[in-house]
Amino acid sequence: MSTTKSLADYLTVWFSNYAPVNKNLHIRLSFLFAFIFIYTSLSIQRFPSQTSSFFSSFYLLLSWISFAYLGYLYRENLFNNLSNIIITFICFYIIFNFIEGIINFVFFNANWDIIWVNRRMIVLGPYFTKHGEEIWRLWPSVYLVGILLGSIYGSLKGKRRNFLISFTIFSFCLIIAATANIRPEGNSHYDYYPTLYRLLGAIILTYLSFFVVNHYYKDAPEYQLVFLNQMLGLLGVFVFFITIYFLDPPGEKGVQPGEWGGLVLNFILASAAIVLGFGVGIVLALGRRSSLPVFSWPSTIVIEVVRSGPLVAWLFIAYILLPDLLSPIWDADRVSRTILILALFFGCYLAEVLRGGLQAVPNGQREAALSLGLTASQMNILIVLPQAVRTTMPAIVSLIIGLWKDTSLIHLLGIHDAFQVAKVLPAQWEFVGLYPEALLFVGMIFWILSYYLSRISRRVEKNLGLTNESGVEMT
Amino acid sequence: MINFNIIFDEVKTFFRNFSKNPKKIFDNLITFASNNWLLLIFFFIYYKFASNFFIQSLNLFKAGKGGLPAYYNFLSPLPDFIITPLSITLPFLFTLLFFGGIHFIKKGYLNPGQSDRMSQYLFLLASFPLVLYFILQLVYLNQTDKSWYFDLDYMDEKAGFLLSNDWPWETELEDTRWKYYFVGISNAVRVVIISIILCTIIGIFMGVARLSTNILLSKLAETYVEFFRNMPLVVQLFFWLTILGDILPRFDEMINIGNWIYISNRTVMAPRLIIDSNFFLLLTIITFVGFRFYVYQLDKEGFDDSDEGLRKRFYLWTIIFFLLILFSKIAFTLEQPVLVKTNPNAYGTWYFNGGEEISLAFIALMFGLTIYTSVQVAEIVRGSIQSLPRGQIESAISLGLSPFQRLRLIILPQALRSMIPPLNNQYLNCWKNSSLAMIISFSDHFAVSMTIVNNAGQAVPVFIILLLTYQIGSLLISAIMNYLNSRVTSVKI
Repeated sequence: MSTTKSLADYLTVWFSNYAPVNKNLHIRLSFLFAFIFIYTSLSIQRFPSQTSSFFSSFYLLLSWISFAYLGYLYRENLFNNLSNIIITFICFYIIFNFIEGIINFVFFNANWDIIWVNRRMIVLGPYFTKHGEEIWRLWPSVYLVGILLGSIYGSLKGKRRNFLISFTIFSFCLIIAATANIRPEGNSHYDYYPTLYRLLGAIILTYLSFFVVNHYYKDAPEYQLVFLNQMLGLLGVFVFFITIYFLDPPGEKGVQPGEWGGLVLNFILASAAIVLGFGVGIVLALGRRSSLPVFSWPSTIVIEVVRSGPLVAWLFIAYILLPDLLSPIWDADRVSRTILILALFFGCYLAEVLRGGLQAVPNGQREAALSLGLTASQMNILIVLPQAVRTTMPAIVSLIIGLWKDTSLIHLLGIHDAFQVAKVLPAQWEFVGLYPEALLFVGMIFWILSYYLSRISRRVEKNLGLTNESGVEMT
Repeated sequence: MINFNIIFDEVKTFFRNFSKNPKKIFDNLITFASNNWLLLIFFFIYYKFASNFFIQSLNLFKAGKGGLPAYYNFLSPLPDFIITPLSITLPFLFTLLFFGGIHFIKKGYLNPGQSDRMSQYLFLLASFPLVLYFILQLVYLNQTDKSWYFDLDYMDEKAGFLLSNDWPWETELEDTRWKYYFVGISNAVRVVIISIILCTIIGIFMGVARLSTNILLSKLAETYVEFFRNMPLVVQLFFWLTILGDILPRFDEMINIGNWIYISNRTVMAPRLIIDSNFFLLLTIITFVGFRFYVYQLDKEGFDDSDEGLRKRFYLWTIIFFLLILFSKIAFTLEQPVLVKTNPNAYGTWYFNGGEEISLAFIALMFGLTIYTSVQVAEIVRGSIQSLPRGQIESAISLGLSPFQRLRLIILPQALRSMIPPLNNQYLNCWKNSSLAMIISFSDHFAVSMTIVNNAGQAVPVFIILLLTYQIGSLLISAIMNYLNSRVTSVKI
């Protein structure tokens, strides 16, 4: 009996053993192709003609084929038993509809002019949009932030191109957004050269600081890196004060904090609350752990009272009651009061997190520090706190993410932050009712930064060896 | 006690040295300043701080406007010739004492116990100007500013505004502010309870789905979690409200489900539950609770699974089931919402008679809270499942359990033990986040109290009540969760 194999046999063998060399690349490519095919099919549907329905279904079929290839690569996970097959088809249906809906909304239905026309308003707020001549006050901090960003990424031990590619794309987007006409169809000429030169200067400074720091600190020993990080932290605090100094210089007429707005204000609020809140949090945490009742009772009371209420209640207290209490001492405006209360709120939550970290520091460390002859404050600052911060780093980052998200709450006090701007924009007569676009755009800005922070926190967690790798997989 | 002779000795030696060689003392001072420049800067800042607070506190003792109120008979206002020298000398004295004390501790004459006591005294001393100022300012505000009065009389006055969503209570214009506040609390509690239940279900599902071997399902769950976790809740709430207004049909094209439920983008009308007889309602509850208690007593000695016991149980359940249905049928009726079209062509004039109105804000808040909390629950579930030892799953597989049995019998019961404390945190967050209802104009107690602040102008008592309410709610949730935790962890592994 001759054992000649038919074509079907060959195909079966070949297909059951098929595995691409670079599986990740194939997955990404098939996803990308599916995306492009769906986009093409939907865009053909927009212009109905005799052949359009055929071509549109043809491209839809192509997208299904690339999805099918994706499923084929994972056939051992997706099609190994009946329940998995059913789940796979349901998920495929959801994903397909989801992608189709997103493409339909983003590329065809949404009117992004509302964002494009008001981009200055979203970033800087209404005051700077009206008074364009005051924008120069922000440039010094832009330069400094560029230097800070470049140095931080330069000191990381990653590949250079990770930063360079993404930053180049980002800076191109910035240049386009800064130099294009305000209205897409507008022929009103606006002199963009000063802005362009300043922006180019900031970008070049960033590149320069990146290369310089990368050159000197690429293979630097640990202690030099720690020193650099401390210097960068100081620079960050300095940038913060420089920003406030240039925005509202004492003695002369600047832009009052009540007039600040947009995304810049969210950044200022979050960073101020983080810097001040760290001070508050460390003091309260150490105070609560102290054995002396004069320190421990007030800190416990403050922490528990502040944590009992929601942030909104505290913001309203800052808005309504705090001015009465502070008015003879300090005639604080809305933004400063908000910073104060955000810092207090963040500090109290941070204190609770740090307390856990402080308790986790072994007592031998303290005893060793004391036996070396350090004083109590030196022991806390040099020995105990760094270890406590190190172990609680993921929790602290998630608190920071929460704070960054919570800065969108300040719109309740009538401050024109990015969310308030997004809420008000659809009232413009050209863009009536375009709430989804404005809200989603501003929400995505918040989203991107929080997601990035959470990725960083995950990486830090892994580097510190805090994650539990012995995971359980199940169906 | 601290030996004060040491201080006197030091001062004596200082003056003796000064009379001997004045120039050397000058040099010593310069070295001291260069060694302790940070301390000196701090000294200066503290002096500024203390003088500012002292000046303001003393100003409150002045006569007339911005000072002591006229009806403070037991306190006579201080004249200027006392205030001016006091406001210069007092801060200087405090600064001197404070830094003298710090210097004294740094010298190291004291044993640890004395040093602790000394540092406590110094802290009290240093914070005295601040505390004095805040107490005086509070007393002053309490006497002069209406929003700082501490009485609660105004809560008994008429509220003067209307609430939507007041089920199961009904509010009228004549009702007191207390009633409005309690209706607000019931609104918030309703949303929070529904959200907590839903978010737990969705969260457990998503957390398990994230660990699925089916890569499509796990990626889908991961996308869900990452998207809603990093989006601010405010944006989500507002987005749901606008999206609901967009996708639901207009009022004249509303969806009518069997004349019982009407869905449109203005309102959602549902049948109203009307209590006909309180007696039968009470009877229903008593029957149910009594039956539960009876079964509890029955099972105390162990579950009776003989044929006779099972039959008895079956009869019991059937009888109680029909009794409950009968009682609740007598106790409640469902009222159908009736659409009245006074002018069929103009749907602005249409309105509903009866029925219960569920506003879009309620649905949006429920969606927002549920989704935002479910994401956190999903992360907790994933984390606690991942922290289980791998041997548990492997032994379950080797016992021949199916995937669902593994999940139901092995994984979830063990994961529950480490899940409950972080879940408690998330439920507390859900309760506190319900205060964002104000943004989408849903009247929970926070929104009601803000309206009361605006109307009555008395802010402090309202805020105190508000914080107390949130604290009591948090304590209740914590108590329930701690009870559950003790139940779950009562068996030691």
